[in-house]
Amino acid sequence: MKKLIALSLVLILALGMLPALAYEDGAHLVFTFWGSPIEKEVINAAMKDFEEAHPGVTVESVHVPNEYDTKMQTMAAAGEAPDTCYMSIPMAFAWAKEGELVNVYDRLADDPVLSKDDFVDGTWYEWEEGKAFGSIPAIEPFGVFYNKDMFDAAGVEYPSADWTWDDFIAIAKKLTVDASGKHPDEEGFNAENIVQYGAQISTGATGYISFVWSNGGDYFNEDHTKFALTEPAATEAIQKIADAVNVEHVAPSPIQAKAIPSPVIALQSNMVAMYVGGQWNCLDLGDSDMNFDLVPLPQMGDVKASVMQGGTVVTNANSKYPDAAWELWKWMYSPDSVLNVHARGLWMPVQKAWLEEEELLDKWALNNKYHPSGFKATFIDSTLEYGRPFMNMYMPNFDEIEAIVAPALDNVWLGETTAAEALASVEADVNAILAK
Amino acid sequence: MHATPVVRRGRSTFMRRNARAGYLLAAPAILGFLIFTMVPMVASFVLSFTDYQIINTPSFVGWRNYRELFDGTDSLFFKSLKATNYFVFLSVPLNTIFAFMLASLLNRPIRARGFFRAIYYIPSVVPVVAVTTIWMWLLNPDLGLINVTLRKIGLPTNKWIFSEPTVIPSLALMDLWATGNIVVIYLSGLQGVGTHYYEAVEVDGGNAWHKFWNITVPMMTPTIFFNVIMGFINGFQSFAQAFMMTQGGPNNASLFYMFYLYREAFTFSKMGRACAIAWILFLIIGVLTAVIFRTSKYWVFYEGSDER
Repeated sequence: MKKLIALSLVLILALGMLPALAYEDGAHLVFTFWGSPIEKEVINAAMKDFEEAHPGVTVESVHVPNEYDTKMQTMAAAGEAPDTCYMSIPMAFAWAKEGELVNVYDRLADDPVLSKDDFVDGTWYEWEEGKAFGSIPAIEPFGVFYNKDMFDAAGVEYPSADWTWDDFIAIAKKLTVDASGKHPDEEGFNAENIVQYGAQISTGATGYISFVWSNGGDYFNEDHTKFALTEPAATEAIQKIADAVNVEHVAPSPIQAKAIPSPVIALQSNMVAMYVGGQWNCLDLGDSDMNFDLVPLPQMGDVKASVMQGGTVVTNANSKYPDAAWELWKWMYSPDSVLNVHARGLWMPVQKAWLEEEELLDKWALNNKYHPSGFKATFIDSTLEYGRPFMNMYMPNFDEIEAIVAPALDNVWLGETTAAEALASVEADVNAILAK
Repeated sequence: MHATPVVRRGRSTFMRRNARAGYLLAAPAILGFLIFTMVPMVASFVLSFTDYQIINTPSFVGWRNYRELFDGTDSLFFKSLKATNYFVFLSVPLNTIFAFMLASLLNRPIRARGFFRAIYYIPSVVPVVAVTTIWMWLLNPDLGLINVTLRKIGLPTNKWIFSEPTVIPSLALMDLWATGNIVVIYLSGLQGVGTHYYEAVEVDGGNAWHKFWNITVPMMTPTIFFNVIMGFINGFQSFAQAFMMTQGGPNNASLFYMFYLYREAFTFSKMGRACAIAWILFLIIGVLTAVIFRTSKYWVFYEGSDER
């Protein structure tokens, strides 16, 4: 009897404490996203979980595998823009400026659960002072993936976390072999017939910028009014990356890389020993069950820097169900609710607690095949200690600038011109865009 | 006599009914044209004078979109024009000559003629995406069949679509491969050339060259004329090669006009500017076609007409 009374008291108390629903009852949300089949599976499951956790809300989960921006634009033109969705950065800036996206700072200021300080510093996409449309639910820094078996077979020691660019090249040389078994520094080495490359370096801006920073350079000057890749420190870094291909012969050129199906297959099939690439590759490498590990990027100069970049998730300011849409935004930024994309190596959480606290780390980053022993030092520690926002985080029209700079660099990676020449040739065009 | 008006009335009812049925049957085509061609064209013309970015309410900016293209504010506009012109003026003549030669050969009474005709037509049936994928492999400088063959027989290799000077010629070469559609048109043209002309040449003691140059070529000029115009129109609208194979590179050497337009519209959301770019292309193609038409009276020969 006593028990029964106690129980009913507890129940009454609990009912009294139940807050009013924080979202609209009967809300129907549309959520759009891109990504691989695995991402699709995980996100669709996360939407189901969201519906369960938020009774009365239904989510229409729309996977758009390619031409995502085009799809967004047609949906918007038809007045059917999604309530919450993935969004490419240039598009998000454009939409935010037109007042189409929710300022999440406002929402976070009033939110009982989540606050701005829970996120890694410098990961906010701000379109104006005090106004941000989102953060990076999946930070994707860069590091060096390597095939341990290839190191063992060649009798080369694994790289250590404090290595330099010169160490990197020296190790890569030992692991580069031509058809007759010779290394690049040996007499008679045939650069036209390399069967195993010591390294492969992703030559996109997200890939090379960490080296430019490390060498003391940057893409823009301090107040972002001038193109700065033409400065010697930056030019030198880019030249060194190109030289790894065309002078040192330790990495495939963009042409040769065309014949390499994917970084994972390259590492797995002993075509490439070290791959300089983004965090998301952990998924495929983990699935391949190969013996790989990670090490931070080699230092080219004295500056410590690691790029913070990735797509974003935003909420439509004109949503019919703004509160439910906001709940869904939070859902996507909460590693617990989309745990599988994190645990399987595709995403790295942006909430600080998930990068710092042992018990949370244990849920995704420790002791599983997707996250080898070097993972923490390579991606988590470098991000927390010296993470630096990618240019598109503060430069809304960065894509337009890249449309000018990237083609000029094509010929640098091919060894047909020098970094200094190529970058000087586009300096005026880039500065003209910056001056607008 | 008095029956005439009745007949007339009957006929006019019939005509009217006929006309109504005619309009009704033509309605899908007319409506289709109005709704899916005319309205978008007018809309895009109006939008080309705005800063439309889909998400915003367009506001008029006068000639700004056009001015920014021509005054060099957008440095890629002229690059894309240059790349496209290079491609068009290289591939259209090449295609015309190659397809014409091929059609002439396939028109001869050779063995297994149907088989060869089918062989040369097959590439035209292959979807563009598959064509580009095949050629990406063929043209791969390291593993591609073309370079491997060249290496085997001791000839110098090439970087093909991966090098600035060779990317456009490579794409033009690829275009030749899928020329089957044009070959078919030439073939039908060739079959329409009456044998009595050739007999006349023989009677006059002319050889094969005389037959070709004095009979085949003039008789084929209307077909050539048609193919050249279609070639220019399609050439300026080339898109898939840049989109699928080169992304406009290296160093914008294959930045086709349509690819550039697509990128402005759907990557950078600059719909207003993209509309301006589209209208400039429309003008270019219009002027070019007009020029070809104007000059046609000097070189196109129509059977049964005195003009030459």
